[in-house]
Amino acid sequence: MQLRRFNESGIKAFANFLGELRTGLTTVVPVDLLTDPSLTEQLSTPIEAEVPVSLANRMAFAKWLHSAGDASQTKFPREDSGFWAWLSLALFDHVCPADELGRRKPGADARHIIDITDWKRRYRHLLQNPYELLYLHREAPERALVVLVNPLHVPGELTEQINGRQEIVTCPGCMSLATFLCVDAKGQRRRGASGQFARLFGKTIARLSRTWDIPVMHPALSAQLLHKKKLRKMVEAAMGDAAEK
Amino acid sequence: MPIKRLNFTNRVKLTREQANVSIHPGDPASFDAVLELSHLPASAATARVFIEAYHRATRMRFDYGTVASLTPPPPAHRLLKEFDDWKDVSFRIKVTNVTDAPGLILAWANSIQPKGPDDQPHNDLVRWRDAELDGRLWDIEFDESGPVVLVEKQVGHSNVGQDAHFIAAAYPEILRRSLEKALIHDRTAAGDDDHWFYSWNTGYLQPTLKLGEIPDANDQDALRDWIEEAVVSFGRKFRPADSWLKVAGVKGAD
Repeated sequence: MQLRRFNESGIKAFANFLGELRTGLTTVVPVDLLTDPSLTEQLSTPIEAEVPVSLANRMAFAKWLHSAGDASQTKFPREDSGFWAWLSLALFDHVCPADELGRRKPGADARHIIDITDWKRRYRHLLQNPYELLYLHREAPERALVVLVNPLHVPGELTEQINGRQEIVTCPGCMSLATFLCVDAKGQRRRGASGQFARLFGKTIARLSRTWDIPVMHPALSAQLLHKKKLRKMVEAAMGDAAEK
Repeated sequence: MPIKRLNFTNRVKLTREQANVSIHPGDPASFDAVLELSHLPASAATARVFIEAYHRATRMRFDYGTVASLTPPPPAHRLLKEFDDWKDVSFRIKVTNVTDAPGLILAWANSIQPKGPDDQPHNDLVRWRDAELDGRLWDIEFDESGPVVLVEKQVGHSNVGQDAHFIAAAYPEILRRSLEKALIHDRTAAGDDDHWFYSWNTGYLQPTLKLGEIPDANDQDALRDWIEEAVVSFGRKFRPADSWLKVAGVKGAD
């Protein structure tokens, strides 16, 4: 499949489809929009990519897309809302899967079409965000597992809360610590790794970062700085896993 | 005056004379750091020096060696290649213990706005940026360095912000929303010199508008009253309505 981008009319057509899907006016995914020459354009550098049948989680998607870019020796347009909207429709079964009765719940438009007027909320896009996170942590992607471990269509509140705190999401040490605390030895989100945890974690890290340079610290060391009771449960579970290893 | 944060760590705040950054524009831009750390105690000799460049969701970190042996990365490794525009980039400098209390910050300088090629610091109170605003003329957003006023790019370049009509209509609201962000949303205190509001307050609001003491962060009503007083004082001092009349040349009521 050759990847393309929507022009302005294409984005509007996709937004109309999302609206109709939400109100039950349609259930048919309009894949013909993807190649309609009046709604789409070629990317400046052509990129060919075959979509995997299954994408286990956000990490798998991000790695697939980065590989496609590497194979074409180019980077994807991180800020191009036309491209990300087009890709959302191309991967609609992954970002908005149908239930057993064939119903789909697309959620807010921002999950599929980047809201270019509000850069702080761009992270809500279900595809641009995992790609961006992997790009940010491309030197060691595993440290970002905490926000990439979920399925594409269910990023979860923890992901949203961490994404909303740039001082954390851009900090390698903070992301290593969050993954250490929230992802278990099997690579699954640990019980208790909730949005509430993320809010408390965010506030605590903001305070600690004034005293401690988290990026130079091993997660098992920086975890020892977390004293609040609600955080300690996660610290103890993570330390237990580390000891077993 | 309420102080929200107390420094119990003996962390030293580096002045701009001791820690500063200069930019060399280019594609990508690069930077030089000026570091004068001889005043730090001998126990800090082995501490490592890191420089972080940041803007929104982008951050780059550079290892400058130790206090006793500063070793800047070679120029080819001091490129700000992750950033679209060097004018957006802020810096922080950390001196970090890596031996007996690994990770402890011994000294730092935060929110450094780098010097540009003409040696002019970029210290405007607000910054301007073109944006797609879907029909609106302007909006405002905030990052670590303070407010950024967005102007619809089809209207013209963001220098619309220098237009007298725009100044008259928008500046008081820009001030109000910036103060609400700092004092109500961020709950920063007057003495918090890590927040952009500190330089606003000490460098502009107090000297220019001569406002009263900022109320306690927990007294939201008093804070809102203080903000309104600041906006009213701004109007009295700079007379934005007069600016409008000067360029419009007519009185609507006549």
